[in-house]
Amino acid sequence: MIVVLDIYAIYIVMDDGRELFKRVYRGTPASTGLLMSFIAAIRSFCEETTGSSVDEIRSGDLFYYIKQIDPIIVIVLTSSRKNIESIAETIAYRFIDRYGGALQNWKGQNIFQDFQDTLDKLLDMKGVDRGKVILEPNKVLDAITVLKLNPNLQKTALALIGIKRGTIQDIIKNTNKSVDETKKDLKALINMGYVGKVASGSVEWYFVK
Amino acid sequence: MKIITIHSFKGGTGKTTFVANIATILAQNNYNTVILDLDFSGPSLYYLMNVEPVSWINNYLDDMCTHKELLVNVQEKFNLPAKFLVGLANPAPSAITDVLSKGRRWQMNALSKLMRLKNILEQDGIDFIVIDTSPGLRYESINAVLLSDITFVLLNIDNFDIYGTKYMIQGFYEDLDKDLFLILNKVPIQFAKNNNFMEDVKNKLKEISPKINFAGVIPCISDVFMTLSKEILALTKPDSPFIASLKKILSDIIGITIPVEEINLDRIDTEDDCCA
Repeated sequence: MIVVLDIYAIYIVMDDGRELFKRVYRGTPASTGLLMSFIAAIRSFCEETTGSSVDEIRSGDLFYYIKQIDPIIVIVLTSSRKNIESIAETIAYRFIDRYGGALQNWKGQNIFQDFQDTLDKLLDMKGVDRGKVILEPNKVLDAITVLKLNPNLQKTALALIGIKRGTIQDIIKNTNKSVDETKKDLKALINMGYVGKVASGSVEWYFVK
Repeated sequence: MKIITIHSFKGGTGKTTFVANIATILAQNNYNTVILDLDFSGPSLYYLMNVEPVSWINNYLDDMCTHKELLVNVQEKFNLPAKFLVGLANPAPSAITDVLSKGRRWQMNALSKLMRLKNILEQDGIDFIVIDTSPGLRYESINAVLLSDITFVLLNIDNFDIYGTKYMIQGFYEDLDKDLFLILNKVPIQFAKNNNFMEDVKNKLKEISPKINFAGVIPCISDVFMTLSKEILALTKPDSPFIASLKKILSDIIGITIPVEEINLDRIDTEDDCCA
């Protein structure tokens, strides 16, 4: 399981709800103002009614993980709980280490954007094609789609459906194709919008919607 | 491990009976075998197997159970020398309509899940998975064909079926990198005995597509009809010519070593012909 594909977005806000930094990796970005209003309301409600705070809110396959380390709150929109607490904590401490002084008298200036590089390095993200961090598929690769594909691509497409996400090495285990052939197939499937791609460390990952 | 999918253009071609019997023959010959019922719109194996599963394949594909909760071991019940596991589709009308309402995303996840199940079963020492499907081009049958190593398409000697199968093969199977074998099932014995007629039919079928291989002819035998789909003939009447026909197909096409009895159609009376 890789972290980069699980993390959809990271929001860093002051404990009073003002946005400091936002990085959206996947999906449509939410308005930080709306998000914070909602989270503040639900947290306040839960604290009053149960005496304890809310540390995650689930919505379908995704959930918002909330970590408060004064004076900031880190919210991670993710599809996996794996290592999420330590990831959110690390992000919070890196941010505070770097901008702690500025946060004390912050008056709303946009001075945190260079945290993007730190964050991408922290998550081991690397840019892929077309200047994007993650190339998202925009179509579902299912059985009917496989039927419409050129027969040469069907084995690679099916192998990826079977694992949903994986490296070239994972894919060729089920196809007996060469690395070069598989790369060519994947490039075609990416161009058709059926397959996504992300680079993490030195490894490229491919995935279906 | 090999996956064998049984498909047809029309319903009523004898897929479920074929599935239950070839899977039983495989298990009788020491091959660890699993049956998966992907005929969500007309689940029938449940009635033939006469077992009460803890969970259905519908639940498995909805992530509501594990493969161990899904698969029922009928090895002891049927007194077989090898593992014989069945994963059944839920015959309740609510379950049938529930699958009908599923979207493409669910179907993609279902295919993905079945591909992972294949890997799990391979590690568990299973030799064959035999899949029953819905007739025609429905999502579950397309998923099943994509999963398979070998697909048998059953058809009856019937113009509707022959032409429907022809168009299904030309429009669907021709672009697939899959081994496809046609089987003429429930062939009236008077036709099956007529070599010229059968050769003519086979040649016409081979003209449909270069993809087509011809796997065999199964005569219409009253033994099968008389079971009223309540029993598996490979268990209750293993000497039946129907079972001999299936063994020959398995031996010829799958390449497994099983004793195959000679089928002598002259010894079958026309009164044994269920189509007479």
